[in-house]
Amino acid sequence: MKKYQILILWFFIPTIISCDHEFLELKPRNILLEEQVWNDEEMIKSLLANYYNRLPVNYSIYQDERYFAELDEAVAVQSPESGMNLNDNNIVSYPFDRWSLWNYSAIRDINLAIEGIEQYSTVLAPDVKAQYFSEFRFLRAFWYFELVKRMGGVPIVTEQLIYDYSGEPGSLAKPRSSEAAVYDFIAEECDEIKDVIGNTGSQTRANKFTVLALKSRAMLYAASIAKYNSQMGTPLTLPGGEVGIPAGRAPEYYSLALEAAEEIIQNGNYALYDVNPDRSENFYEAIVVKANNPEVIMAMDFNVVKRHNFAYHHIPRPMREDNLSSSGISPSLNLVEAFEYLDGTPGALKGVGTGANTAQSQADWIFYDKPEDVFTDKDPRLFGSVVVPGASFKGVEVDLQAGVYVWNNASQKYDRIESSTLGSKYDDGKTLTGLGGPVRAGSEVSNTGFYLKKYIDPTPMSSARGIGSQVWWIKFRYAEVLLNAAEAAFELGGENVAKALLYINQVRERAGFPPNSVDAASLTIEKIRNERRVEFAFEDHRLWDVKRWRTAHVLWDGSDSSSDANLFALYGYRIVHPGHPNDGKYVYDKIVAPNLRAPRFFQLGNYYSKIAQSELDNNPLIIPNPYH
Amino acid sequence: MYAFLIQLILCTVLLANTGRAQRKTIEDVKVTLQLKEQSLSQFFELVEAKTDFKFTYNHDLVNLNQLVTVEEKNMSLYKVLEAVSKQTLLHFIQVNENIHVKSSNNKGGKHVQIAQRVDVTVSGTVNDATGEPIPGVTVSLQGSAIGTATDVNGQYSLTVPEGSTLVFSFIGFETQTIAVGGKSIIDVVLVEDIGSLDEVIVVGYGEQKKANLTGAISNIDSDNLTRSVSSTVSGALIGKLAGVNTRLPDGRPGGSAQLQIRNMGTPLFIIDGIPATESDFNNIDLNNIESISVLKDASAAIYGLRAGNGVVLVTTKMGEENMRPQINVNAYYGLQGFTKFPRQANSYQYMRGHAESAQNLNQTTPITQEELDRWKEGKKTPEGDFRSMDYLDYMINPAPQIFINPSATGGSDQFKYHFSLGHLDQQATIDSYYFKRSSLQANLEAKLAKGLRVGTQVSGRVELRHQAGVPGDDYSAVFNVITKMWPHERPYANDNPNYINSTHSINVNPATYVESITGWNDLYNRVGRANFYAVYDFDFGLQVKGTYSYQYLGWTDDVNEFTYDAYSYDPETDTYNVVKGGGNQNPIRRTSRRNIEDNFSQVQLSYNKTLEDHAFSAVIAYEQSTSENRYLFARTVPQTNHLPIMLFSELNDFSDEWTEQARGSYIGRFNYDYKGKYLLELLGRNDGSYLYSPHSRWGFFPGGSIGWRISDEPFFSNAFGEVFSDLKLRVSYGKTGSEIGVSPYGYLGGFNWAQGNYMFDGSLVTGIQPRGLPVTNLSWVTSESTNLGIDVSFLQNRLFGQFDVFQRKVTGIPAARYDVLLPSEVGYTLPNENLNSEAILGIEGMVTYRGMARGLSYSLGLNGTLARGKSLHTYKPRFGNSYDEYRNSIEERWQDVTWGYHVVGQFKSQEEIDDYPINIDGQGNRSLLPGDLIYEDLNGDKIINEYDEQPIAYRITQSTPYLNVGINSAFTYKGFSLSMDFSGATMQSFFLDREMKIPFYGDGNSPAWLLEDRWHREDPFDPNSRWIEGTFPAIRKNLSSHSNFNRRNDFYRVNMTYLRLRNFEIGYTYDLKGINGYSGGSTAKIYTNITNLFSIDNVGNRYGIDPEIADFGGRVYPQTRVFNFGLIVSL
Repeated sequence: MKKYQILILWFFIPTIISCDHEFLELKPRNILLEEQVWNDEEMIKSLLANYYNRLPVNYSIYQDERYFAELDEAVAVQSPESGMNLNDNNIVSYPFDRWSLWNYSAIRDINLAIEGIEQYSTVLAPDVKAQYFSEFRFLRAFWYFELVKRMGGVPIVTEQLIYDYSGEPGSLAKPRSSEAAVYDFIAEECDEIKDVIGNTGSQTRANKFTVLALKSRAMLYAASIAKYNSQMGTPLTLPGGEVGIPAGRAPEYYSLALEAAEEIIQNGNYALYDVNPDRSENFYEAIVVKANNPEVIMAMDFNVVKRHNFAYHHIPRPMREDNLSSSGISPSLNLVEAFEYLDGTPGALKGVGTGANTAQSQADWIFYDKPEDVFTDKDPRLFGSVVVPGASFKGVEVDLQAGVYVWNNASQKYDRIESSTLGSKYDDGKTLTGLGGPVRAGSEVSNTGFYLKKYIDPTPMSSARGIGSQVWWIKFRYAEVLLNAAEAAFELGGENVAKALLYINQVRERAGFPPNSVDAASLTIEKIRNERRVEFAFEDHRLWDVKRWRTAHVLWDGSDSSSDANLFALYGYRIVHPGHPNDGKYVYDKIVAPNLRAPRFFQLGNYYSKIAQSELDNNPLIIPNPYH
Repeated sequence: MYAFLIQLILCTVLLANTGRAQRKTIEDVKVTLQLKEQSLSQFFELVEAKTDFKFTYNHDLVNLNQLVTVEEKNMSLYKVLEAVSKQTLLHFIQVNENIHVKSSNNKGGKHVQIAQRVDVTVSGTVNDATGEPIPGVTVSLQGSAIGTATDVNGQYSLTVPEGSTLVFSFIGFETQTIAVGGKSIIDVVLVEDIGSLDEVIVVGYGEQKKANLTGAISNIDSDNLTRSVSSTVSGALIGKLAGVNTRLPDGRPGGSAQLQIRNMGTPLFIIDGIPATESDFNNIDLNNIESISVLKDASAAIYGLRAGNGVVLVTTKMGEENMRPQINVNAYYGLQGFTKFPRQANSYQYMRGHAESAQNLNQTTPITQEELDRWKEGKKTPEGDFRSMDYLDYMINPAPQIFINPSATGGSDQFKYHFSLGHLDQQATIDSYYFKRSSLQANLEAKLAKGLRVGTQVSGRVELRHQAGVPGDDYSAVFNVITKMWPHERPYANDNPNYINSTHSINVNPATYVESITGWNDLYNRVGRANFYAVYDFDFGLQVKGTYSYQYLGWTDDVNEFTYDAYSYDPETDTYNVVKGGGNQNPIRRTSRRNIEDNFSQVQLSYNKTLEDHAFSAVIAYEQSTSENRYLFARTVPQTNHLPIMLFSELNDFSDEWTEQARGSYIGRFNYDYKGKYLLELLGRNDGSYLYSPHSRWGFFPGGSIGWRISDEPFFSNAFGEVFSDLKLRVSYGKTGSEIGVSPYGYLGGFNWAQGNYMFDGSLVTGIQPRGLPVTNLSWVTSESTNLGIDVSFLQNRLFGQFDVFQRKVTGIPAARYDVLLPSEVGYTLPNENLNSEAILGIEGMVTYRGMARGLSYSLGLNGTLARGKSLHTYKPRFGNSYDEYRNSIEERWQDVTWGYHVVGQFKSQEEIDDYPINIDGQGNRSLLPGDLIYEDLNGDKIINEYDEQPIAYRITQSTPYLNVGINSAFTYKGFSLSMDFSGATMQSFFLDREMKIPFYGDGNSPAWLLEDRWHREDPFDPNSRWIEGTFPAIRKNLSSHSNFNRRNDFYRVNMTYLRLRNFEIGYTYDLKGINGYSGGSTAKIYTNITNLFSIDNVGNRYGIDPEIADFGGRVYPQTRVFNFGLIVSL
């Protein structure tokens, strides 16, 4: 018995004292180690996938959709699922840190990859290695372009900055480069990599022509900043050129932009999408059709696994396929009127009242037979970008009618009657308010009288949240290359103007305008700029264009009376005037969009976004931007 | 200390002797004794130790000090006794397991006898201390099922074998054990059980007598716990323990109260010695809990690295040796209804609000005065339907809950057990929503050999949370119905229940909240745990115990959301038309499965020794635990509503997770006391966690406490002994840890897998992303706890008080070392290090009084806890200017202070706004109207901006209040019992927000009070009519960006204060003795229990909300008021 007890003790005591703790060393199941990456092409591709996926956007169909309704293209509609909110329409002024970006962790990650490939990729063939090397550099150039267009000159960091824990990180601090130097850096990088990068024919990974498209866009931005910044009353400058580019460099940059664009035009094997004889549909398809689309240079693509909910969030109310969402973006009348008439005249709609509900306000009315008649002879791209009253989309006619105007014999004018109930009937049994509104206060229904069409997926059920949309988001397309070339050529002047005419007319002709709809006499810089506005509506060009042209603060001056700073709606009504020839006809009022709470107000301090205090604290060499 | 202990153990082993055999008579039992001239009492002790026999004798008649000499090897006890009898002239009679010792006068005859079993009839009266007879006292034969109970006159009669022992027990009184001897009449005076100091309390890795406790430990036993009807354990604890802060912010079936010890955060839960989750803790059937101990101070240090927020120890029930089988059935039925929920506006209020909103926003409205008049009338007319729906009444209806728990507890001399089954069926107040839980517990322990016991605790439960398959968090969706449906909308088209009406948002139409329409959601939690242990008790006070535990958790969440159509009614044609996009065309079938396997093993050595006035005890242990957590998620878009089987062809999302944890620990505790007067405890734990890099993985957490029982000092007891029955001072200090601010594998570099993805030429490539800098210099957060306490009893322990002052200082809170400013352009930030510190300071106390008067026994208790966090030091704080320091410093400041704007008033007129010099809205006050809020311009710069913020509220996070109080009372008189438990709290802030602040928030409805008590113009259609004052600002529809709403301000702040009758119970206990077939001690109790009968608070009447909710919009399942009717049968 004694032995038995001693045995028990001799079993337990050593167990307690001598336990090994190997079991505390756990192997992670979601972490790859350095040595598992650099010599495995699949893993390098995975790294690229991560970096492509992280490229910044201001707004897009997969991220930050609410900013579609931040400028003058659209007004936000209360639509909780999409994140769109009425309060998005109460931008008293753009905050100075709006559009701010200082994401050096992305730069660090790319530099880490560039160095990792150089140092550790021992088994990759030299040409394969060079290709990845160039692709990472393209991504870095893209990032620097995104940084410079928001912040002005930024420190150019091209290698990992390693802190040695010495407590003295000062040597890692770099000052801001000049704005011009960053653009120059982008141009140099593009030149060095364009012939090595490979990926020929890819519309999702960068190839030679993607690199050139980036260069052309960047050079055009640099050129217009050089030219128009100096034309401002008080140019935006900093002593070291951190913002502002000397006016003298404008021609050089315009030439580089034109040169890069023309290289694509001549050698790129791209063409404008031109398949559908219906010009409106053709333009719509140019964006959403992915198969054999010769226009797209680079896009962020989606499939059944990687998908987005843009259609779910923004499909017009009458054709929504889910019960929860829709209609988050309500395009503005400002944009609709920017589309010219086919004869080249300005696009303001005709016979539209002011909605004041007085006899005088009704005097301007044209009584249209059909709702869509007010848009007769407009640029077909309008109908490819925006759903207007009377149009059809996805096989459904869009019922857009705000109410009725009923003749009042006593006051000798029409009395306005509206309803907030969609699809409601007036006493005469006909429509009072359309199934698609517009209504002045309502969720998930247009409040401007229009719906978004561009980028909304035509595939059945793609607006159901469980299925989702696979439409891609285009980062570069051929039409931009043509318009970059046109703008650069026009700005360069002289014999280049002929090129400008050639390129802009290609774009207009594809849109549905007659051949040579612009000639040397009618071509103005405003014409070119308006062409970009309508061609690239909802493609994240508008903000950057008006910034580089230095027109943003004039356009969006925060004034209550401004027709640009305010956003407008088009409310259509059916006339109820039994026995009268006008009975049953349609009239329109142009009113300030009811959801709009404040006019757009872009201040000089918005041209270059605010560098956060923490960045200034962390690096004393960084100087703040003007007006901050 | 280790060496000493081991040496002590080994030396003693050699002295130990062989064990006892189990035999029937003293003739069969052989013993070996080496006694030379030792006292008789030592002889008795030795024999009792070596055999199962007990000597019984009368001290007055038997001289225990006389010396005996017995030197026998393997001799029968009979012979030994004969030898002793010769030396002492004593007479021994074996009666069953007892040996009666008698002084013998006759020198001849047999001095040692084995008596035949003789039955005697014993009767008597049981009284309390005041001489009142006590009816219903259980009188039972120790170690058997034989028993009876006293009648109304306190009298009993029972026939038992001679020499047996009777046990007298009654709730509220100390159990008495009396040997029958030769007596035929035994009158008993039962003494009230007043929290005796001999009570044994479960502490970390052992038990201690309450008198010897030196740590701050609260304890609650089974009776006080089960007095409340609660589906969760935390719910039953509300208001009952000092030092425990609670809040029940969401009362949904199966939901549990938040529980924090001294506001320190979520504690560590230990069930039967094994770490468990909060969910495991909450879902134990209350009837299985023997006791709960809460370690609040240094006493938690024995749980080391994860005990920084205190420890809750749960011990489940177990039978006792030789305990007759006790069969209990506990069942109740209850009806539940909401305590409070904001009533929404009716159609008239809604329409009028819209008209006013348009007027206030300068918009046109289609609404006319004529329409408003009709809405006010609220009738269905040929012109239209002007009625209102009250969706609160529509959705929320009283719902039943049913509970039943049968259990059996008992034991023989070889075997102890507790078996229990339980089932709870709690319907929500919403159709199609419910919670069900079935559980079992089987605790067994068997003696295998002398000193060797093995046991197991097996428990299992299945929880089902069932909901209708509506999108989103399905309970909150229900509240969307109430708050978002427009009151003039009808659920069914033309009120025809065959056609779901196409409402402004079909997702909030309650007609769809039916399982057959919208689908279903079943969330199952299946948990099985088995603990196995073996204990070996050495003769000399050493115990060795080995434990292994395995727990498997299977969690599945299955959702099936159906498609359905919505209709509009066309009165002209009397047809119902499908509205395109009106219903739900988005079918979803989704499953999530999580499996967690926990392994735990432990070896533990404990040693107890008393040497005259010195008592020692020590524990050392090693334990290790591992956990593996696997998760799978899949979603399909099914083609049919009718079948739940998922197909690959319909697959639309899929993901997988796989994580592990591992920890190892060395544990030690040492206790010493001198005469029970000077008490010392030292404890510590060395913990290793997988979270930290191999170089800094292990941490040591020591603790210690001392106590001084002043009342045992002669100088004190001589002077104050009549007043104080007990007075003890306690001081403790200890360290614990928290695994916060560190992520698994933070010490590794490399790349994270599956970070984003991208389409390369038509095929999807999974992304990897470089990880940040490896975190190698970050360690756990250390909590240092200091506690000063006093325990005091007066009036023979009737009045007991316990008071503590405490501080928990937390050091090493992760923060960045920012005297090293790394340029942002390097692209990474310095890893956090253990730099900052904070503290929680507080006091707590409890007082209980137990009394008895004329058959009425009662207890009253009051407890309270005030605990508040304070930041101490941050690492080298830097402030750009004095404002920055004022606004952002947290040095030496109370924590969780909420900043916001102070409202100094409301504008009375447009003129006042026009003349007001301070720019309130950032737009020159253009957006302001009379009734709008005037913010204080704190810095006098004439514009309201972030520089005008000031502290305006206490902690507002979903957390526990700083001050909690509980008032407990219980009364019994004859068979009647009454108990009331109040709980209350204050020092917590709440902000009205969203639905309760912004009219027509999210295009929905609003609480009626928000639209009624508002500033408005006399005529909503005449912009020139005069303003009429109200409490809330003028209505603007859904405009949260307005200056009234977009700045957090004290106009909408409420400091919630409440005292609620959490638990009220009245019951009657019948004695079943009279009924044939029932032995004594069988009772049946019927009772009515009401949860949340009433609440005295500052929000219920004003805003229609329960004071414990945390959702600022009020859109949450509030606590319920429950009427329960129950029956407890004990056989």
